[in-house]
Amino acid sequence: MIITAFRPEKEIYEGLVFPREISMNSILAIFGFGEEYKTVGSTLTPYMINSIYISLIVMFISTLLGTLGGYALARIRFLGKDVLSTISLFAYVFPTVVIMVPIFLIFSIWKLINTPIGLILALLSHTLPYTLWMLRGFFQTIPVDIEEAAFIDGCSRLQAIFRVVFPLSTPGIVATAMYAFTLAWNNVLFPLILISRMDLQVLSIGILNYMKADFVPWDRLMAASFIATLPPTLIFFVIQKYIVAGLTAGAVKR
Amino acid sequence: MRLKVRELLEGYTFSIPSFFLLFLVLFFPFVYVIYISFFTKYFGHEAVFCNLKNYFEVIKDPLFHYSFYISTLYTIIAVALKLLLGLALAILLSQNFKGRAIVRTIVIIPWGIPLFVIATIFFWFFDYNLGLANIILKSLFGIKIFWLGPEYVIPSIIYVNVWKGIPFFMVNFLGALQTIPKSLYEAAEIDGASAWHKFRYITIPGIKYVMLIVCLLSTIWTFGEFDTIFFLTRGGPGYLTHIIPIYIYFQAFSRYDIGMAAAVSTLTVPIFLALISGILWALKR
Repeated sequence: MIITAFRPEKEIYEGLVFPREISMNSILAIFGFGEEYKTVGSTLTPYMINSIYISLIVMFISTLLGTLGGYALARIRFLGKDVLSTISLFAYVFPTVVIMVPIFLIFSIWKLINTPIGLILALLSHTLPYTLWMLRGFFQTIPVDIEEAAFIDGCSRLQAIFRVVFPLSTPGIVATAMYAFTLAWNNVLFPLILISRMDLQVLSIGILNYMKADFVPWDRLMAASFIATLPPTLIFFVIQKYIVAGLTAGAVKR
Repeated sequence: MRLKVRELLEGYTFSIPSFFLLFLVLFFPFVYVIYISFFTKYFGHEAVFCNLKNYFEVIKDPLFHYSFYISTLYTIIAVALKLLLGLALAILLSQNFKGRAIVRTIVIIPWGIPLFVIATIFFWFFDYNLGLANIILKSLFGIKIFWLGPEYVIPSIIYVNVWKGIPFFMVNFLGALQTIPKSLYEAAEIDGASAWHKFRYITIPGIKYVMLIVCLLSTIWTFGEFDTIFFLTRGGPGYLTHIIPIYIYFQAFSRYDIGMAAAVSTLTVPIFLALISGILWALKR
């Protein structure tokens, strides 16, 4: 019964995106091809480019820092490690609405409103705790013995990490990175409050502007939504088993 | 001893970049929001210290009362529905039947779709003239409904949230169900336990911590969710769907009353902290 509740939306939604011949026009239109489409909302191409490069940078930084930090939290014994681990979980779960107002105020003092750097920093507050927590959990599943064997063979800590630990955990790191990309791509709140110049805006807000129009361009709204869904949904299906294992891993005894 | 010092150094060098960044963009704002909540502050104006004035104003504001009430109602109903339906689906899918993998994949789809796209899908789904919801209603009963109008908007947004949230519950429950040893059920069957008894005394205790964690996480996310409701209704019609995040947003970015927005943000912190502590407690079990 629920399944049938799931199905219609998807099928009809796709039915609207690809109604035989008309279909490609709306897809093309959001990329700025075709004649009449220069008017309402115009093209979404710049938003897409912004979304892609901002999400990629966020993904790169949060994975790099998350890998180092996550490794330290999982493996190295140092004072404050448990506190920092707990903090990263808190930070991950905490809803961003609470810091929406201060982020705006602080970023206006730092002159980061309407800059890509500001948006990237704000998104990192959301993605970095996630990568830290996930990678910490992931590194914990790799047997310590392998690393110790490397130490005995004369490897330094860094050599052990780069030659032994990272190669073993590539799938986990890649999955976490991809999900960080998705988190950045899906975010609405930060671009909404931090970016007001349309040439710097990202895809989610571009789509919101379609919906705000007096006349809603349904075909293009759906075409744009379809395009916006592709990266996160594809990524999701590739990495779902890692995401699923991540959060409740501690509670499920395997 | 030397090794310990080195480990200490390594630990800090590895984790300092992350936590320095988090300090800047997360903990500093977090402290700042509490600090600014004691000031009267409007955009473009100096902040003036006002003690607890913002809090008194918030507590007196009928819109805040309504906002808190509707947030709580929305969260409780949505989480309860997700729990029930997610559990039912998980149990269904843990049975062996043909095409199980396909069904599982279909059911999981909403999880992968970004929230703002879900909002646009339902924006269209609930549309008065074009939306699928009314097309179905019209063909069945010959009536049309303003899904996002005053009477139906609350059930509609709960429906959207549940639709999106079920896979998260289901997948986690499915994983937890697989950890319950089959032998327990077999033993119970020999003892003549009914299906209800098996569910009550084997299934539920077997997955109770996962259930708790999943429910708490979902409560936090549902209570703090902004995207779909902002896209679908912008807090309207009137103030009907002014849940707390929407209230904070409009207080800050439409009425420019930063102090009050900060006070409301601060007031939500204990709620979230309590819920997260619950998760930590359950994770340590």
